[in-house]
Amino acid sequence: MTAPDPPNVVTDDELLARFILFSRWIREDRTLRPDGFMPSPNSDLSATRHLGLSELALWQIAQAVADALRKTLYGRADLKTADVRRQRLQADAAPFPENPNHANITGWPADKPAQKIIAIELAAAATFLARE
Amino acid sequence: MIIEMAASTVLSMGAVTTYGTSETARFVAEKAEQGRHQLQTSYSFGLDGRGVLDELYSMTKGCLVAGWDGYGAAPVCAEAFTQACRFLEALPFGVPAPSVGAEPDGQLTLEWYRSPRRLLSVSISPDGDLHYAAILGPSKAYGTEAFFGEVPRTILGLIHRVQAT
Repeated sequence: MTAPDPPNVVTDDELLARFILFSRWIREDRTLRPDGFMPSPNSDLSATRHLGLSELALWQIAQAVADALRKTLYGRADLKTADVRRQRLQADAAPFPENPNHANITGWPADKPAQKIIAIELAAAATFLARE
Repeated sequence: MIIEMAASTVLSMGAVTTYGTSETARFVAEKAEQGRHQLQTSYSFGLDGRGVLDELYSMTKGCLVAGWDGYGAAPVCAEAFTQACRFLEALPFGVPAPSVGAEPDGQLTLEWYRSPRRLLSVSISPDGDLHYAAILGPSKAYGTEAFFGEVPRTILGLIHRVQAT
């Protein structure tokens, strides 16, 4: 499904996918609400590196993640790593056995309004792809 | 037989819906009833408010359990729901209804949206803090205001700017 040893460094030109498992984060016009780009309670945002994966392989990972969490997969938001770093966030490889391509977006400000403005920027920069 | 009705329809019949036996579910249902009463007696909000209440109610119901987003989100609590109802009730006449969302820290959000680069998002904390962020083309605004029963002017101004052509 993926390369056996994904490189540790996430490069600026890499695409990151944020799997959308909550339908209310998708607007009627198929854009994404910033709510889905706010950090989790442990201050990171989970994503998956494309790393040259085929569409099929990427969707397989997304579906496996959704299945493991017993959630419905509604789609994914693709985001350039450069757009993440433009917001002064870090994108770090954080592989685990079920998803070797997993990455964490970290470095969020503690201030909630500052987090929100970044989340709006990320949502505007992301491209939503619905699960067909 | 299963009958599905909108929250405001059920509530307007005088029934208080419950979703389970937990204290949280009961508390949210009670608060929803109070919110319905407040919104229906509000001169300014009228029928538009009932639709938002349904959305708010449905959103809260879907986010009562930790991990509702698949990424470890905190549950939305009854206090956040109550504050959101109060905020909606306080919106002046003529202000368009927002859409409703939720964030991983369990706060409810109200969004006024024109495009991905022209929008206002307001998060409502259980203790009544309003964390807002807006992008209006090249301009940005963000901050926190306390909610004491009136919608802060800063936020009203941003709503109008999002809507302005």
